[in-house]
Amino acid sequence: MYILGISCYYHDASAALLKDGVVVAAAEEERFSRKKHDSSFPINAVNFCLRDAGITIDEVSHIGFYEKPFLKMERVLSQHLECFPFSFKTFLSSIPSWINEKLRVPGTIRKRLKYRGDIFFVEHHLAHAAASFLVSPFRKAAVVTTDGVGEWTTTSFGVAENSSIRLMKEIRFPSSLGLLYSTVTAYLGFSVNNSEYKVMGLAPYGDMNPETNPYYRKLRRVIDVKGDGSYRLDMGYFKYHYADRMPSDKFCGLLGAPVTGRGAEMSKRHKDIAAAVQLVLEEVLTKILMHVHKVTKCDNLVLGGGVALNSVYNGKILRRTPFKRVWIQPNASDGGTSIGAASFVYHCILKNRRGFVQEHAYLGPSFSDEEIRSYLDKGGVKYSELGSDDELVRKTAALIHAEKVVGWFQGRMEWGPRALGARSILASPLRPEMKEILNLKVKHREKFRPFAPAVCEDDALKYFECDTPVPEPADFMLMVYPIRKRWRSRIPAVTHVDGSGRLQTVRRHQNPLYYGVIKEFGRLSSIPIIVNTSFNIRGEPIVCTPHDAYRCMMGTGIDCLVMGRFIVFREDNGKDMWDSEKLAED
Amino acid sequence: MSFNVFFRGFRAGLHDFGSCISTIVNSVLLAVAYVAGVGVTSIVAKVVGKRFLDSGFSDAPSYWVDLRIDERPDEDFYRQF
Repeated sequence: MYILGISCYYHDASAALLKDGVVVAAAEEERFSRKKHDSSFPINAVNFCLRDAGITIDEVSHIGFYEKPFLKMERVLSQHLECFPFSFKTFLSSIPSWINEKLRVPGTIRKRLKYRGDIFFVEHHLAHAAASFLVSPFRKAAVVTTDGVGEWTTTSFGVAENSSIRLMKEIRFPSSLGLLYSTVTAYLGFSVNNSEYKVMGLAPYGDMNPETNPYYRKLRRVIDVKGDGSYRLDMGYFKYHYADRMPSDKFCGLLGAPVTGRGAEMSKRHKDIAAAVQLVLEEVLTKILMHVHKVTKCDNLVLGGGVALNSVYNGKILRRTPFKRVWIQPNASDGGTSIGAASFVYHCILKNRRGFVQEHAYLGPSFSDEEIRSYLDKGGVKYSELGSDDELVRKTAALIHAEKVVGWFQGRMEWGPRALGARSILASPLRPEMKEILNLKVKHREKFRPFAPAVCEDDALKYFECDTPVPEPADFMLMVYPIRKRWRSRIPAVTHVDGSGRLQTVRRHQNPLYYGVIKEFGRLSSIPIIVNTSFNIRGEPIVCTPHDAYRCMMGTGIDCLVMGRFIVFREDNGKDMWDSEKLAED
Repeated sequence: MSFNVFFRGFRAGLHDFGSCISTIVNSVLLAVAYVAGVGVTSIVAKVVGKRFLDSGFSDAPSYWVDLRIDERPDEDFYRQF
């Protein structure tokens, strides 16, 4: 039985296909359309899923959609009714898309996919909960979902067991922890629903002591938190419920200056504000989790929703709360809800038993060596071919050890926002300058943002102060842990200002080639850790096809591309060089 | 200039003109709907004290709201609301 999950029309549209409860393919539309956070109907992602499974739409028995559009419309209308006449501008700009597409989901699905079967609509936070729990290794777990907003819910918790999910309590719009974080993101001059992780990366540069950070006390004024973790925002500080701007003038007054301009240099003040919102988020989430543990009496926890991508807090959960194990969907934000909707239909509505655990995120398109060779030959690209996997591993590790920046394109593309060793840029972490080299030659991103270390799971505890055993979400780069002090100066390119690293742990069975490269680099350098950053140009989605990868390398300072069994050197193909920075947008 | 180039430009111009007209008509209709529909309802609601969004702090012991969305027939999932 095939079930298709679809999410779209807000941000990060995606599709996922289940075969008898097993996720066989999943991808976000942006990877195909090349528009970052593409929210349009994921026709390319759906077509990929069907093609990958070798089926047509006629073989799909059910489709799950990730929210209930009419409930969401009710909330949007309530915003306009509450905020009349200040919502006039957003009414004019938002209502046409509701009339033209968002309220026509069944018609669009039937027309664009030529589909005649059942369509189920799963509440947004239920889809988040399902995306995390139903593919987790737990039989029973407490479930907490936190994001910007779904239909009405912004935070929810409950308990899930076997094939049932029971969400018990919620916090409703307009109070939202996710939107509070996004408001500060906007205030600091970053883009909402895109750059929240930059605020998270900026926070350690600020004062992380709530006693001395002046902005922490100010931000605590905008949110009232009860002992059970429930919270409410003072909406006088916000405009997002009626305008296309997040902070109000009162919010700017509270923090003592207007909204920061795009691209402005981050001062001590900005860093302290980032630290303050991270502190507030951590305080509220800890209270929520303590309460949830008390109510559910479960030792296992699953997290869903965009806030669950806050890897800095994720790394503190098991130390700060009584939970003993945690699992997080690798694509925890809206993109992941297509897996949630499809899994919910299969297990909770159709009452099928669970048997699938998501152990890796390699669910996207792959390209055979013949397809890659054909692409390279047609484009007249100069390349060399490697004879075996061992040679490929040795050669790649040697290039990284020689301080080359390597584009790594192998196997199925990752599901979710993180590059995890299928569409990655790899480099050596041993030189402090590598951070600047990557930023100047390739990523063109803010100096304060850290690069992530990738380490084999069996070496992780030697270099990082991880929880024991290392939690599975670390495989998806969802946990930040302190790097052990003696190693910090040895791997400066991946050591953040506070001594932490957002590590990716790699297990051999997940990705043998990538695992082999890290181990081989360890043999050459005595430290089995490499830099892993996403294979993309700033402002563009992570690469998907051989063409995207080659184009990205030739537009940046990536030295070479290891694609399937082939190695392409940038300097050998000078005719295709271009400057990606000229077109970079954020 | 060939006919093809002329007609391509002409069609593009017509398309842009149509889009402008559509935007203007939509904006006028939506403005009427906003004032007559949303506005009147909002004013009446404010007069009778109806609130559509929960905002502002309260002395209640908790802000959690009951949400038992498992206690429903499966048919609910066919609906968009």
